[in-house]
Amino acid sequence: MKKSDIGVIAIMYVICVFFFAMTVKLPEDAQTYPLCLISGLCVLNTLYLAQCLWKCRRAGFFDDLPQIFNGFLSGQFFMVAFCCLGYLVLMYVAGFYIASLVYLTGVMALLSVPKSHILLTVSLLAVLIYFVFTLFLKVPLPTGILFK
Amino acid sequence: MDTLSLMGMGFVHALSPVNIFAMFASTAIGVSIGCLPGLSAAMGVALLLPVTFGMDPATGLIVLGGIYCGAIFGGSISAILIHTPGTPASAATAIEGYQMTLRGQAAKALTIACFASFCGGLLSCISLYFFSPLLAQLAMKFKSPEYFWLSLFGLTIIAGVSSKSLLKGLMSGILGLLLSTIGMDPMEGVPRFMFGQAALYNGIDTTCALIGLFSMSQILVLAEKKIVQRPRAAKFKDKFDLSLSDLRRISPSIVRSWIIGNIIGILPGAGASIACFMGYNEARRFSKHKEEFGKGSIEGVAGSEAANNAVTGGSLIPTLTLGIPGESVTAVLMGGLIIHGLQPGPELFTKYADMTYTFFAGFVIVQFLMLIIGILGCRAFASIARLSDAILIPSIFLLCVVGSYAIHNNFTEVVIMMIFGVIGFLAHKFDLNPAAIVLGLILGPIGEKGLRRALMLSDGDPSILFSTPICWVLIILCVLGVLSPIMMNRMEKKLVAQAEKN
Repeated sequence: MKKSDIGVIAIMYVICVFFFAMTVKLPEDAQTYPLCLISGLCVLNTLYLAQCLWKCRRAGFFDDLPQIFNGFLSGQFFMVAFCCLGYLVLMYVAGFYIASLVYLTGVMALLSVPKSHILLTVSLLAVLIYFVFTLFLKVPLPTGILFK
Repeated sequence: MDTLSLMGMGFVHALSPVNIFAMFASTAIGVSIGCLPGLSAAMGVALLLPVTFGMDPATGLIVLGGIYCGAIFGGSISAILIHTPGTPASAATAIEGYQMTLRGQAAKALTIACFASFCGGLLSCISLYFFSPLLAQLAMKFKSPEYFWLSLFGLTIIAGVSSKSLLKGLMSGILGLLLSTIGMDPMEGVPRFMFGQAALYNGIDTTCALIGLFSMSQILVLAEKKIVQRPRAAKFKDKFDLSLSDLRRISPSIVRSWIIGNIIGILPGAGASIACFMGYNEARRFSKHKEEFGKGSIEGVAGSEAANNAVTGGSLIPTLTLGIPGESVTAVLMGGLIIHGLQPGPELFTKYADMTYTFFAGFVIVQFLMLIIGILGCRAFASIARLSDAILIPSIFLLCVVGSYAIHNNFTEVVIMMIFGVIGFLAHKFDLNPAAIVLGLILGPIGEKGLRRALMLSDGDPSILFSTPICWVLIILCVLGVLSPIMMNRMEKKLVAQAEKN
């Protein structure tokens, strides 16, 4: 049995309980289908638990998390994730184009991309998005609360 | 209108300047995505899906088809030049293709890969034309109970395909079904699991889920690893040409691989990654130059590439006629079909026959464009294959955000996309199946309506679900669907081992 299996099984049970708690609040006729699915998920998860326990008896328990996260660069990962969230906030405030410019330049600079490549990528993406989304699809991209 | 007229009209429509431009651009984009190791065909199709919103449905589907075919071929470029398959479908090509590169025959290997891909793809269109209407006629006999079992069959098939554990795959599918219940209840009209969000009234948008699960998750996968400079592709020392004797040698392999790829493609559950190894193995088995295998055999390259591209047309048959995608790319393509307001099934060959045959014709033309783009652009694509992940990460995220925002012009979709991105990343890490989650989301409403309508018609008597022979056939297929991954896994392991041994 792998350590990651415990997490998967626990999360699946949490999902079942969460959806079950919300399902019982629905009118009776609307409960049937979600309850069927929740039961199905619960049964499969229990079968998976049984399978894992069976494997545990034969092969023992081992921690596979170091293997799953082998080479995981937490600093880089969370920096990228934080920049992505920051980009959305900045887009809400300053609008799509300004936020995109800052985001692209910032992330690529943090990931040590040469300046010439940053300039080329930003220009190409700006042109691409302007032509495809603004001109062709006529998407009203966010202008930001600063410029409203 | 008879089928021949529809086929002819399809070509007339597909050859409009707008469609030709769309096919050219989408094939080139597909090849670029395919040749980048780490980016998949499913990711490319999901990412470009919002761009097709403003297009005519036929053009939109042609674009998605172009990306699909281009990406499957594109994987062979990096496989041959840098020994890293761009997509799993080119894994077998890397064995012989890279050996040819080491021998200074990179251009020849690419020409053969391109020509074999073209032949495999083109021949697969024949089965697309002939088998699709037949299967669609069968689908006309389906009523509510049959649709319920059909959706279940689709789910059992995809759940098993790309999951290491069948149970985890099935759990992913049910999770997708559960997520598809978010929104208004279709029968009772009551809100379900909406968390007070009016934006969820119509449920989770499939496009957001697709972009999140296949594109956003890929950003997180790329961001966790050390960014390394990809190796420089080998310089071309030979010419891009194919002699008549080479052509004679690879032709039997191409024909065999076409048959293999087509059957594998039509069978839901199998995919291009299995087909390429089968094509490669059969090429070796029937070759008169077995000693060349492992040292750069042109038959090996042709066998693998013709097989993986023959899958493209074949895999569209169950997707378009029954709504059962056999792999993640076709699941995304089916999502695109639904987004354009089209439901897979017999209607595609009656009410929307014009559009369907235009798409088919486009699919044929895409193969020719792939041949031209592949041969003329090899050098450029070899450079694209070196594009750093440091550039790809922010660029893909930007396209994910703008693509999901463009769906309804609001931020809620962007947030949903990001949530699905995290789900996709965790699914990738813990061996759950993103394709099954997506298929659950797509098939959920069809299955729910089928089940609830059937029960309504029978006053709640569940025996209606077992009342027709088609229901029983589908039940048997569901059982086989559960068992098939076990057999497929064994077959794939055997083929890979055999290929490596050789």
